[in-house]
Amino acid sequence: MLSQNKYDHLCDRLINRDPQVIAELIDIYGDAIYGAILRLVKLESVAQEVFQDTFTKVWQKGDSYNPDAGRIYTWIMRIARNNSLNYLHSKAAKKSQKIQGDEKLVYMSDHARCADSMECCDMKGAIAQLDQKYAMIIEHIYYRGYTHQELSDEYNIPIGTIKSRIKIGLRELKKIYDFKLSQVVIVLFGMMFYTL
Amino acid sequence: MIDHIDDILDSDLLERYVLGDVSIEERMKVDMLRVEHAQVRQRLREFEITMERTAMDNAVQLPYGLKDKLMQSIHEKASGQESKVQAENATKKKSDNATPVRSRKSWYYAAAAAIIGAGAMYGLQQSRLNTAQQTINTQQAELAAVKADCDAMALQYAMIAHRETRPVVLANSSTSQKEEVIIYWNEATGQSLLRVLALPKLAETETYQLWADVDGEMLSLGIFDASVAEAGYVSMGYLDNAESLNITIEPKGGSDNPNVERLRLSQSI
Repeated sequence: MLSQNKYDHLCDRLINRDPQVIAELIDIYGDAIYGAILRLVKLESVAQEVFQDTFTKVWQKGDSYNPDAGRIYTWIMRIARNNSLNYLHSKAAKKSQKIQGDEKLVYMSDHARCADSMECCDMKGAIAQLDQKYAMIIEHIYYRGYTHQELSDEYNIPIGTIKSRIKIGLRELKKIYDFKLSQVVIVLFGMMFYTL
Repeated sequence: MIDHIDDILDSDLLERYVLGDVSIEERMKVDMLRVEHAQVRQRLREFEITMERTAMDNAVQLPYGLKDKLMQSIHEKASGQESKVQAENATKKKSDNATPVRSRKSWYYAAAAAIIGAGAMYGLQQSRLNTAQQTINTQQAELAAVKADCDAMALQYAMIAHRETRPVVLANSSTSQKEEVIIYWNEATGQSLLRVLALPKLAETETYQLWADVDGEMLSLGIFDASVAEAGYVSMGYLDNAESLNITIEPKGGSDNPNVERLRLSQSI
């Protein structure tokens, strides 16, 4: 995480549409955003296109970014997610036009068609430590573009259960990161004590 | 419309907002709650950081050369060298326009077939068509009303989310009944929006009136119905150089001068 001063400076330059700030934002958030896009669209060529479109919009719309309305990462991720879902929806529309008229063909959702085997789909870090029932919900909504309604329909899980798993899952995820942070602090104190 | 903040924090709304699983209405609601409540801002910030860390843990290295390619494109755009992009856009627009033409043709054929069919069965179908037409008219009217509501909400949302908009909270906790009003004040656009968080109900012969203190003179910014302003946002007047905002109780229809004895709320800007 950046220091608050550096983060505030980054916000100012983004709002002032400084082209060079885009290079810095890519250095800081690029891999994380690209990973999220790749999980959503599944194809590297498309992910690259969506990534470029996303950061071009970040630069073009930088003056509309409001730091009080959310962190920079959240704002960029929202643009990336919208671009990715637009791609998936246009792809689904083309697909449904092709299969129109053949009643025997069952429409396959964007998610089912895209959820093919990809190494990058294995989740890492704290989310991998979450109970599977929570991790699955967060992964499908955040990284695969599902809504809770779509998840309920496809996996036959009651809406209420999904909503409570979203709530508990995100809070548990936060707890894991908080615990990791406390461990780092303990280690740092330990090192300081040892050197003294 | 007004939810207790503890209920919001206990619900799944903020978590779904951070994951991107909310409707437009829910998103607008959270954006407004974020402005109004520090607890909401704090909770959202915590969840945003959590998802940011998750994304960092699951980062995938950018393909070699992608950053350079993107930066070159942005620098070209920044210096006005957009010819290639414009040419691509023009080609894209052409191909985009091709689909509606084909689609329109199909509709013409479908409409012609429908008219011939309808003509043959005119007698039998007439009553059904009338019913269907009435249903369509009703639905169109409902759709227009919903669209108008959405447009109004979008304008209000844009005003509240505007960088120059300041929330001015007028509150009085000294009386037994809680009185709290929030006014979104924007000097850049010259707009104000009022929302009642809590105000006692008045007799039918009375109304609340909003006043701005400009150079020592109290000038009216309009009257409002507390129950309407509690269910949604109400546009009020705006005056430059206002030093404070004040709410009084006045006779129904409002007054030219404020009844200072019945001043309920006041807050400097």
